[in-house]
Amino acid sequence: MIASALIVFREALEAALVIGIVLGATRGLKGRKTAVAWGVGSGIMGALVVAALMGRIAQAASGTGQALFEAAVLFTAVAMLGWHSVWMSRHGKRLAQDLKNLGSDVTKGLRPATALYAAAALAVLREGSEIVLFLYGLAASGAGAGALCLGGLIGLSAGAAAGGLLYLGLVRIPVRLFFRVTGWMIVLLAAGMASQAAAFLNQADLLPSIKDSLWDTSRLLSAQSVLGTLLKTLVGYTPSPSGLQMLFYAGTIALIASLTKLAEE
Amino acid sequence: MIFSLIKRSVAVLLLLAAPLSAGSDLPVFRLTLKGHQFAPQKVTVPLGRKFKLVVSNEDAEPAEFESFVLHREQVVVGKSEAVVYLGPLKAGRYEFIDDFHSQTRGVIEAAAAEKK
Repeated sequence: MIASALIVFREALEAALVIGIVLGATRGLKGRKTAVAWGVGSGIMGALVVAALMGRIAQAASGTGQALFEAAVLFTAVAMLGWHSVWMSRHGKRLAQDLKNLGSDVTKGLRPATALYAAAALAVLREGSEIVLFLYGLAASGAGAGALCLGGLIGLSAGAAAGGLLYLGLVRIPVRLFFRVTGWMIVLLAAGMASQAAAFLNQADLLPSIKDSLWDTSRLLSAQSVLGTLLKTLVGYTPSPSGLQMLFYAGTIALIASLTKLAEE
Repeated sequence: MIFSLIKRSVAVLLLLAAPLSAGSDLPVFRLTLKGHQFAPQKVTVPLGRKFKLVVSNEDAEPAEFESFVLHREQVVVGKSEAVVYLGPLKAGRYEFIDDFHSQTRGVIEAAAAEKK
């Protein structure tokens, strides 16, 4: 039960951190909680569909279908996060101003941050489908339903709690700095996702790894640990990145930063 | 709608993938999961060469072949196979696990090749 709680926790943590950042970054926007709830809801539905179809997805593209699918989902999320960053560069000042003057959830006349909600939905879809498959496997192997539900619930709530803590921490940042901090968190989130997506394309033999391992810090901080998982989501930590991953990581940051600069005028 | 979207994106990726993956002349290694054990537990692969790893799951439950150090994650649903491309690797031992059953472990060892 503890093992299953831990595995569910790790997957839930990744999705919850993304949701925490999205909730933080949309601070001051009207209707964001409903929108995020819709994102999470549709993400869960999507996760069930993906889990059910995983066998077929994996068989596609001569057995590399899942890697391609994961890369596609990740790149879509990266695009959404990037789009939001560019949008914020135009509207962030006004948002911060409104927030300072009026408190939260009163900003009107701004386009809702649909792209961010979509990114949250995609995170839930990806991590959720793994949770579903894992729990299904346990159930199929005859683990007791009680222990299973309990383990799953503990893992989920712990993950959600971590996301909630992150959010609470974020909203304590003074408004002056707030959008700069969340802005950078979104860029790093996107860069980490792009690096993961690149690894999936390499796994499917579509892109060369360039250099297999630039360095190896798995002894210092394993990717399997809770801290490793946390940093993997927040800043794209991976213990031994390939040259390809590094390229996508740095490229994403550079691309979003320059698009943002351009949009600022 | 989600279903058709998934199908469409997989189809698009398939088209993209087709001309790029040559793949067929790569050395192929097989890894089998049975009773939540990898067989073999040590896969010896050639140095500095790309290769194809076919992970076959003979159990009824889904598994996830995962190597943190090689950044590979591949769900293998029950009674099925999936393909993971790897390498070229430097000499060394690279651990992998079944992420759904973290006691289930194995290792890939890249070593100077014996005569081919």
